[in-house]
Amino acid sequence: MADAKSSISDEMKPRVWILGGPPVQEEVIAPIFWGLEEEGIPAEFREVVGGSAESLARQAAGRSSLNVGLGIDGTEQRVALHHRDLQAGGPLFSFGPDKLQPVRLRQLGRNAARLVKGDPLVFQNEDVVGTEVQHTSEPSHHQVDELQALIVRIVTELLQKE
Amino acid sequence: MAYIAGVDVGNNSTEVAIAQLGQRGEIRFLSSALVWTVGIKGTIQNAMGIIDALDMGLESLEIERHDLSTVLLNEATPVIGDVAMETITETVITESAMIGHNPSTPGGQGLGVGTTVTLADLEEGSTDQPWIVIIPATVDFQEAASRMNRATSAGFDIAGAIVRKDDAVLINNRLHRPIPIVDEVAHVERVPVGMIAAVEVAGPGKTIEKLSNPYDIATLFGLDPEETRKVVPIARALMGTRSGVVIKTPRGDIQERRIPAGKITLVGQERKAQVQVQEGADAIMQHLDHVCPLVEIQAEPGTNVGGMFEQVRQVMADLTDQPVGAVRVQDVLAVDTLKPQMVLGALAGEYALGNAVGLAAMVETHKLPMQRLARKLEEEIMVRTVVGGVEADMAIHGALTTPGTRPPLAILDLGGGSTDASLIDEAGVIRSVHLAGAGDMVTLLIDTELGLEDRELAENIKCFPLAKVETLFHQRHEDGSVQFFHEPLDPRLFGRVVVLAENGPIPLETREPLAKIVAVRQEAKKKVFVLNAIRALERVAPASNIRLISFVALVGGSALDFEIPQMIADALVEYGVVTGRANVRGVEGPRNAVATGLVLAYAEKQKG
Repeated sequence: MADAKSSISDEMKPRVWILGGPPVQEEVIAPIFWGLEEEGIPAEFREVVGGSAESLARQAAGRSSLNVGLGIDGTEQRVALHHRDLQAGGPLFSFGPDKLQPVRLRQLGRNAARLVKGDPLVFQNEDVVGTEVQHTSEPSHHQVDELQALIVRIVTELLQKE
Repeated sequence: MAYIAGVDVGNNSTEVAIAQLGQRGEIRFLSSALVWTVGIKGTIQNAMGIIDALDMGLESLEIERHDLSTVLLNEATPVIGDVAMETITETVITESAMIGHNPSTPGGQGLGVGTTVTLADLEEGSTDQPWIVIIPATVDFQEAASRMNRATSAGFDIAGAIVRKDDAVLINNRLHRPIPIVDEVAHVERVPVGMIAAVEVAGPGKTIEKLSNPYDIATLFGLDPEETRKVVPIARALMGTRSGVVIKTPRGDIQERRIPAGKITLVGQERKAQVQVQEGADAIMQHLDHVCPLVEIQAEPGTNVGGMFEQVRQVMADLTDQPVGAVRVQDVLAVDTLKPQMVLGALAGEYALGNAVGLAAMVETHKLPMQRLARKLEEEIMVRTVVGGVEADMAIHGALTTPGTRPPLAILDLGGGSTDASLIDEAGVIRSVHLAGAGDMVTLLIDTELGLEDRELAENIKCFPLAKVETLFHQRHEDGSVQFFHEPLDPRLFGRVVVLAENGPIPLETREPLAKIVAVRQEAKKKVFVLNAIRALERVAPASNIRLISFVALVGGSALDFEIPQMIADALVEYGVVTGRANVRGVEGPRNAVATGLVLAYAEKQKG
C-alpha cells in the first residue's frame, strides 16, 4: 500500500511514526502502540512498500517532529527503534523473530516514548544493539530449551505416524 | 653526598620522597612517588608497597636502590577508625492500610472513595454504592476496561482502581468514565476486599493533596480525633507522592516504631555519662563535650554499636599485640541521618524515611610496630632503614614547605578513617589530636541516605561530580554546563543521573533528581569534615581559640576532594584564618608532607 498523500500540517503533528512493510501483523503493532500509550506519547502507523526494519525506522524518525521512529519489516519479522540524531549509525534497538513477544514489543514502544520524554530507558537484559549480535550467535539456555522441546515434538510426531 | 628516601605509610597510600643530602646538610629533593598501601598500616605486608614506591621514585633518577644510603620510615600514628549505622525508627504497617508510591504512569486524576472489590466479584455487588476495583495481573487491560465499562453501563458506580501491572493509562483511556487508577501495586492480592478505600491520583507534576492531609483522611473516612491521630504516619508517608491509596481496615494501623539501638558510656577524666544512641547524634555529641577530655568509650554488648566497638578494638589489638581489654576507644563522631527503608507490610514496595545515627569510632594505642617493619624492609632491600620521626610532627614540617606559610601553623589531615590536626607554635612546639570520622564516614552517610547499599558506588558519588544525560548526544553537568559528544552515548545512560567517575560515567538507578543527590553528598561532607575541622582545631589551638591560629593547611587524601577544602575554608573564614590546601615544596599539593618532613628532619639532625 502506497504512502497516503497527507497534508503537511498533518505530517507535522507531534507523534512517533511507525512505518511497516507488509505483511504487518496486528499482534506486532498493537503492543508497540500500548507501550507508547501507557507513557502518554502519540504515535501513528503507516504501511509502506517495504524495506529493512532499520531503514524504515530511520525514515520514520526523520519524518517525526519528535525525532523518534519505529520500523517493522513484515517479511523478515524484524523491528527497530531509531532516533533522528543517530542517522549516521545504527538503530538504538533492533530485534528479530525470536524476540517478537508482546512483552518485548510493548517495551520497545515504552522506550520509544521514553526516548521522547528524556526518561531512563527500560532494559530486559541483552537488548542493546552491539551486544545482541553476540547473543544471537550464542543461543541462550532458554532458546536451547525451546529447541529441544521442538525436536522432541517432531520426533514423537514422526514416531506416531509410523 | 648521599641519597636518602623518606617513606610515609598511610592507611590508604604509601608515599615516598627521594632527596640528595649534601655535606653541610643541604637538601635537594629529586623525586616523589605514591602507591596504594599494601596490607594494614603498621604490618610487615607494607614492605611490598614501600619497595614499589621506592622503585617508582628511583626510576626517573637512573639510580638503584642500593645507591640509597638511608630509608626513613614514619612513626605511624596508631590510629584506626571504623564506621557503623544504627537505625532508630522504622515504619510498620499492621494489616494493609496504605499504598503510597510513585508509579511512573498512574492513570486518570482526582479522588475516588468506595468499597474494595475484585474485578471478578464486581458485578455481583450492589449498584447503590461506589466501588474501588482491584485488578490482578491475570487480567489484561483490554479485558479490565471492557468489564468495567459493562459494569458502569449496568449502573455500577466505579470510583477508582488498584492495578497490579503497569496498565493504568491504558485502562483509563478505554473507560467511558475516567477514574483515578494506581498501578504497579506489587502485592495487589494482599489488598483486603470489602473495606472502604480512597484512591487519589494527582495531575502531572503535582502531588496528592487529600490523602497526605490527616484531616482530609478523617473527613473521607469519618474518623474521630483519636483515630485521626493514628493516621498521621499514613499522611506523612504519602506526602510528595503522585498517587496513593488509603484503606480503612478494622485493626489496620501504621506505626513509627523506635528500635532500641543500645547505649554508649562516655568515660571522661572526671565525669562519666551514659547516652542512648536512639536519642540522636546531638545528644551524643553534647554528652561528649560535657565529659571531655575522654579516657574511653564503652558500648553496650550485644547491640550493633557494641559490635562495631568490639571490631575496632579487635583489629587494633591484633595489630599491636595487646589484649583487647587494653585497647581504648578514644573518640566518637555521631551524625544524624535519614535512611530510606522498606515499609514492613507494604503493598507496593514503598519506602519510608527512618531516622538513623551514623557513628565513627577511633582507637589510638601506644605504638605501631614500625620498628619491625623497618627491620623487614632493611632485610629486603639491603639499605639502612630507620624510624625517622612521629607522623604528626613530620607532616607539619613537610606542610611548612608550602609557600606563604609560617608558624603558628596548623595542619588538618583529612584522611579516610580519622581527621587529625597538629599545630606548631613559634617556639616549634607541636600539639596533635586525632578525631574519629573522615572520608569513610562520608561514604557511609551517602550510601545510607540514598539507600544504595553499595559502598563502592557511594565512594564514587563522594569523589566525582554528577551529570544528567539529557539526550543521546549531550549531558548537563551539575553546575549547569552542557557537554556535547560526537558519538552517541550508551542508551543505558539516557535520561539518567550519572557519576562522572575516572573510568567513565556510571548510571544511577535511583529516580532521585540530580539536585537531591548533590545535596546529600555535600551535606554528608559538611556534617563530617566541617564539624571535625572545628572540633580538631579547637583542641590544638592556644587557649582553644581558633582565632589564635594564623594559618591552616589541609593535607591528606580528602584534601584533594573537589569541594571539601572549599567547605572548610568557608567555615573558617569567620575565625580570620588563612585556610588552603597545602602545596608541599611548592610542587606536591597536599600530598607527600610526611615523606618530605622525614627527609628535612633527618637533614636537620645531620647538621646539628
